[in-house]
Amino acid sequence: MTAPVPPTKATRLYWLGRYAQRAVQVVATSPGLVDPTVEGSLRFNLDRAYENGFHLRDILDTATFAHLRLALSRCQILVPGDLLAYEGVRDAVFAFWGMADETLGTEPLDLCRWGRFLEVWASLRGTDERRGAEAWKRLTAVWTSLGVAAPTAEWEAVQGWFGECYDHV
Amino acid sequence: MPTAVLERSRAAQRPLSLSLTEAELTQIGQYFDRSAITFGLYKNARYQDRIFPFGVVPRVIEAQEYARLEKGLVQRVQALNLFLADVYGPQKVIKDGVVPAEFVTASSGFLGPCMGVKPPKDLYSHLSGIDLVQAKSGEWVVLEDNLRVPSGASYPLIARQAFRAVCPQKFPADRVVDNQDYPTRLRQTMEHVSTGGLAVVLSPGRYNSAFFEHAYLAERMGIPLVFGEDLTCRDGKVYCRSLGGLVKVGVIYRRISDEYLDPLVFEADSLIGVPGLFEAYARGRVAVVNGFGNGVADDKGLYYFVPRLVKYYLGEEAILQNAPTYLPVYPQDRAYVLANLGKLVIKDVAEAGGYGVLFGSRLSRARREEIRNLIVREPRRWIAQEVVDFQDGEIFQDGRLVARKADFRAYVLAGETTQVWPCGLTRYATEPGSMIVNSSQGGGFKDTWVLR
Repeated sequence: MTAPVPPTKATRLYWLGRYAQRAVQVVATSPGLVDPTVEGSLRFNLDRAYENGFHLRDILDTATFAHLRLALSRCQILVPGDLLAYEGVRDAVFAFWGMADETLGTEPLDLCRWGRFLEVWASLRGTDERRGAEAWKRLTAVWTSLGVAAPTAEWEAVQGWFGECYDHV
Repeated sequence: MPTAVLERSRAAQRPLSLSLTEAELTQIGQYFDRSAITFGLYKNARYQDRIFPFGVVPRVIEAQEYARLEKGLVQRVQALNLFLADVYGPQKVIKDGVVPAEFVTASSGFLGPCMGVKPPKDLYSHLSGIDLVQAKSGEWVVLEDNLRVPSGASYPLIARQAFRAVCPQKFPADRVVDNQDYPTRLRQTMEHVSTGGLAVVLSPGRYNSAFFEHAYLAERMGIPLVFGEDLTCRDGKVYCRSLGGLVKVGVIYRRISDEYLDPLVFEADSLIGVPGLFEAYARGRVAVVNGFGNGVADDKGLYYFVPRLVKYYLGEEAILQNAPTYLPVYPQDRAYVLANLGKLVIKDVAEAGGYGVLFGSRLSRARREEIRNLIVREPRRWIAQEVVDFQDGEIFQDGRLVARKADFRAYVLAGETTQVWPCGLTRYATEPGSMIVNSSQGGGFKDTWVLR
């Protein structure tokens, strides 16, 4: 029997995807931001990805979760200006995604990818048409896999779509 | 290179020793950190996840010694399960004068609503954690029975993995019984009593001190970890909410205390329980591991009577003995306790986790007087025990070998058969001379190697 995903876990998977992807993006755009109290900083996003992951340890499995832990540990000892160390944090998040691809069941992985690809699409829409379209295709594939209809490609609709689909559950 | 000759194997034909380099010790520490093998502590009213201190040097138990221990543990848990079925049923044990009624009905662990309720297969304590110490004479002595939500098995489970991952060539796989089948044993125990449907681990939440264990056991058993809000009761049955709809639950490995499990029957303020769960359990629609009401059998006062229960229910002499214990509720015992307060350990029966344990020799004169008055006023609230001078265990601490007091928690699983997991949690005090080994009070742990 495939383990059912309770709605509370589904929400955490979705937000884990969003925060982990935001952490990756912030390394590329504003690596200097590591103050955990600054919303949107690398540390802020990783703290939240880690916290969601901590609740999901049974689904992620210890080996996969270890990469999130590693990313956070590396972030906690970052020295401002050491750009290679920032890359090390990002590497650990990518390793987490790689492990997640291998170990997560279809439904949890789709929920996690929903959050992740939403962030990718949000960062590209209006600035990089080709890659934005690719991200949209991936989002659509996730919705299809989950049996969820696709919203219109507008930010407000896409951002609220997870709640629209699952709030009633 | 710190080297430990493993104490219990010295007498063996081929003694075991363990030499670890500083690099290996560091790597084991890193494995723990990377895997977030944590134990939560509340310090100054703030929760902290802390990596559980690992002493690395295992406790070693010889095969012959383990065989005796195993027999004694199985016997003890069988008697306790029979006792539970009896006290929530005909109460013959009281009528026959084996245990005074007040040690049953006045116990905070005795739950009135459980009277007459028969759990699946008549099993109450599916997973028991029996705490023992080994006296300097070598004799094993039971200190406490834990039949409610005994924790800790996951730590030696993952510690063995860490050790074997970091220094595989140093692990004597041909001599040590493998311990990685614990999740399978627990899962089979759950399946034995399941009423059909999903198996889940029910956790109070992320800020429970043993949350790592809840998640890790769920992961290793391949079953969902759920919180109270994920379960719902309909028509006397329990269901797990999921994106695909409701899924019937057949067995719950709960890590929440009785009083918080169902706000409709117990603590009405509980937000971590499942309203209606007790009704489903009472109607035999779901199995709960461990059952409701087990606290009456691991009450510190009832402990005194366990060897008698073995004799009463099984017709056998108890293989494992208790530490010499006195019940101040009996005038003769009370006189002895009051006359010898300075050399006894006094325990508050309402406390757990190493709290409420007072060493008479360490009490100030004023505090001793205070305790004396409390014992006279509320004799049922206390037990007193002779101090067992138990063996030290070696641990690696800060890169060197040191000796610390260590106890041992054995895990006994009661399903189709009653069996002991050939491993266990060895807990040690981190402070020299201290006898308080509880994780909740900063203690550490060791793996336990049972030899073939």
